[in-house]
Amino acid sequence: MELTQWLNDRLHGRPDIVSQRIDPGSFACTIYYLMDAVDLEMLHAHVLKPLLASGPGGGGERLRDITERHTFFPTAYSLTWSPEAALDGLLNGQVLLCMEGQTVCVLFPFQQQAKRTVSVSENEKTIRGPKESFIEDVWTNLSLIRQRMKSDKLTVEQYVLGSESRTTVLLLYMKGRCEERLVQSVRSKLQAIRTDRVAGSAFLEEVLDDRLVSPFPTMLNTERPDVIASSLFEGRFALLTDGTPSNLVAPATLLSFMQSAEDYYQRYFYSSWVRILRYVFFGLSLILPSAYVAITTFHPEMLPYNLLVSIASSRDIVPFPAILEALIMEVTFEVMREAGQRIPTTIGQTISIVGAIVIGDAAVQAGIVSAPMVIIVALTGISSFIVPHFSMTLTVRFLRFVLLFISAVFGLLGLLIGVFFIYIHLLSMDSFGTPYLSPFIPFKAKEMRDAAGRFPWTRWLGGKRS
Amino acid sequence: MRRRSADTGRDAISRPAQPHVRGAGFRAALRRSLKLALAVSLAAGLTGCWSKQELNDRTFVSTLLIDLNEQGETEVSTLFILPNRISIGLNAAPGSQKPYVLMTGKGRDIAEAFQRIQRDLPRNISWGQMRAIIIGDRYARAGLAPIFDYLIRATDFRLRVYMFYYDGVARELARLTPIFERFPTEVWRESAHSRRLPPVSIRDLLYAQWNNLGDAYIPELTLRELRLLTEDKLVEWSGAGGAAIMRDNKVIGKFTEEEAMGISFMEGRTAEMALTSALPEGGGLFSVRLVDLRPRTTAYRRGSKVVVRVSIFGKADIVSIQSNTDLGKLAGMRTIEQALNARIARIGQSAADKAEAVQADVFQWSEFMRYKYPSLWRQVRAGPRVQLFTQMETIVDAHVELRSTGVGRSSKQSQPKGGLRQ
Repeated sequence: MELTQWLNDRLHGRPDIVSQRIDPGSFACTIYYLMDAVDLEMLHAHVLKPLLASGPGGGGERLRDITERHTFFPTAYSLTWSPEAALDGLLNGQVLLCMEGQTVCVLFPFQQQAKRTVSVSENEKTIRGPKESFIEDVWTNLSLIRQRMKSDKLTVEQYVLGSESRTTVLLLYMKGRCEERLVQSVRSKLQAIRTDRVAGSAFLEEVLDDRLVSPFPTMLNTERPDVIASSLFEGRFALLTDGTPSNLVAPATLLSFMQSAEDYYQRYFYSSWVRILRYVFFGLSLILPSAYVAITTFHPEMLPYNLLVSIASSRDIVPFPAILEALIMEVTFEVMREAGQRIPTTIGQTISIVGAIVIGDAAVQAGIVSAPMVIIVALTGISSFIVPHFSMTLTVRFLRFVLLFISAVFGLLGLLIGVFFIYIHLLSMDSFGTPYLSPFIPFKAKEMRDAAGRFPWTRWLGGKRS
Repeated sequence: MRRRSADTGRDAISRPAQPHVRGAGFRAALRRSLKLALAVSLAAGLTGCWSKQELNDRTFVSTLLIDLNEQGETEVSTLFILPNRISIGLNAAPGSQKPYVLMTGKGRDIAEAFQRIQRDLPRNISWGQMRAIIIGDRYARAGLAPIFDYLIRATDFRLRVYMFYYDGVARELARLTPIFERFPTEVWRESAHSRRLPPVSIRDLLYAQWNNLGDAYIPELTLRELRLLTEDKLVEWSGAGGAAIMRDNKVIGKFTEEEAMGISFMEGRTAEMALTSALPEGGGLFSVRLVDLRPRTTAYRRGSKVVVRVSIFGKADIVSIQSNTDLGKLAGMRTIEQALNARIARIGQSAADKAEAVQADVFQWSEFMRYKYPSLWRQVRAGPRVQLFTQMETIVDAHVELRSTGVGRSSKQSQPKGGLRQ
């Protein structure tokens, strides 16, 4: 069957596909392209103009120029003999040139997609560091990374996943720094994916995760090119997914979720101090409400005398048991936080302030919840946001409820057991072969220079000040 | 850059799309977590919610006051905190009602008296926050063994609870008006905590009892009526007194206030304090601030006697002096230092002598003999109690160093411009 005929059958006269028949005399051909997805100026200057120009040689000579000598069009193009590949290219935004009577067709990479410009990172802000963040277009994202690492060791592998969505996924790593075994395992996992569509990087994250039972993420997602670049230098690999501004880095340990990009752009004193704070409040946001409930209901003798008097007097008129009080406040807080994400930014702040003050204060005044509980929940809520990566924040938010239930039933003993279960789970976890708690457990002295604190760069990179 | 779209793409199209299937690992993990959940839910039956009590269902004892009435019944009084009478926060006005209440129960022993109190209460008694135990005079003289026995068995008490003695009916102490604190308990607890009285916790007393002799000292609280100009009513004031001497678990006498100070010196439990003393031969009065007093107790054998030597070291600054002694000269400072050391040693010695006179080993010095000279100890232990004191001698000396004249500002230097200098 004629290729043009086959194409017309498949496309069923789709309105967004432009087909244009040209017959300059020597040979007839048809150009197909997606409306508004192609750079028309390029098409005109590099394809139509040479085709319509009356040049030397007959039709046969011109065809040989196109298919064999690659000299006819003054631009880069590819040839394909497969009708499916031609259709793929067309739907990908390439310009397809079919020549009558020929099985070969030409694809021109004149894609021009609607995309936004590179803008300021909104979810991972820095004060001193670069402000750029990824956009949805994977090739722009790649160029953002390339600007930061001009090494020829940077290797990029392209995969197209999803039988229908045809999503481009780029695997990035640095040769010599990233273990070949690791790259090979990711490669085989990517090749094994059978799906019709790729719903962003979260899909890849789940597919590549061997154990879905863990609430802890094993891949770091970031919208900052500098984070990916420095991760690549550290020997990790990155996955850029087309259509997602948030891209994946692995292996990701607990430590990498506690590091913020800003740590590397501030003086090391401050960065180290903030990191230690982060660990403390990470732990606090995990156990504070549970510890409060456990201590007040099982072990009030643990409280200092005057603190007990304060807590007891403010709890005295509260009609609910401590666990219910904690749940009411925690769930309300979660709902406010979740709702806050949906509210338009302009009124979001007003709503959240009203929600926090009115609900918190009014509930205390009415004696429905006690003031210490409001303080605990607020402190917990705030400290859960000190964790720089949102996926870890979600984990903490979830685990907090689990611990809350255990401690309400078993007291501090239950809380300890719960924390130990989490600890054991973390010990058993690994992210693509890297133990999740490394470099703390197993202890790696060399990597400690960028762990709980950050050593000064001069010590770190081995370079001396000249 | 390698482009792989051709091969991977073809694979994806040629095979039917199917969801990503999890392997056996996932099922094993699921089975494991189910087992875990089962184990946890079984354990839930063994412990947990049953022992749970909301704060609203508990009432907290802050002080325990124990007396013996004339009929020989034990009277246990407990001071409870009343959270519902406490207003907290910025706008909190001091309520007209007291935020504590005293309940008394009688019984043949302490446990029975407790039970009488508990039976009438709408809330469960929590002992974990108890800060002080005060023993009335009659109970203390009858013997403290029952309370020690109770304290050993009742594990819901802290060992840090301070113990006090009151020369009278201990319950009466609850009448005090807490002017500086919210609760009377705080007044008593602070007096030991800030070391205005030598602090004695139930641990110390249990140790003394375990140490066979059952000798110890218990700091004394006093109660007196005060007419304060700023208060409308007569104020019941509870302050620090001396200390009770406990011999064989019974209180048999008292240390005076000065002797109690000597106890603090010798036990290394002195807070920073001022001490006023006189210079010899009518040389005048001086006061010093004692800082960092540390005793060092050693024992050595002299013939058939064991000498316990308590040396008190420390530093002192003069805070006031009314004397012609020239402080600019070393000799003058020496004189004061010697007078001070003599006074400190005398205070300590008086306490040691009092204890010896009533044959009470309140400082547990017998341990020196017991562990250093065991053969001697065996002889002494076999004989009557008096033998211990005939074979033991106590020497208290002081080596407090007078650091400075205490003059921080010179009256000459502090003259304002245009003052006397002109």
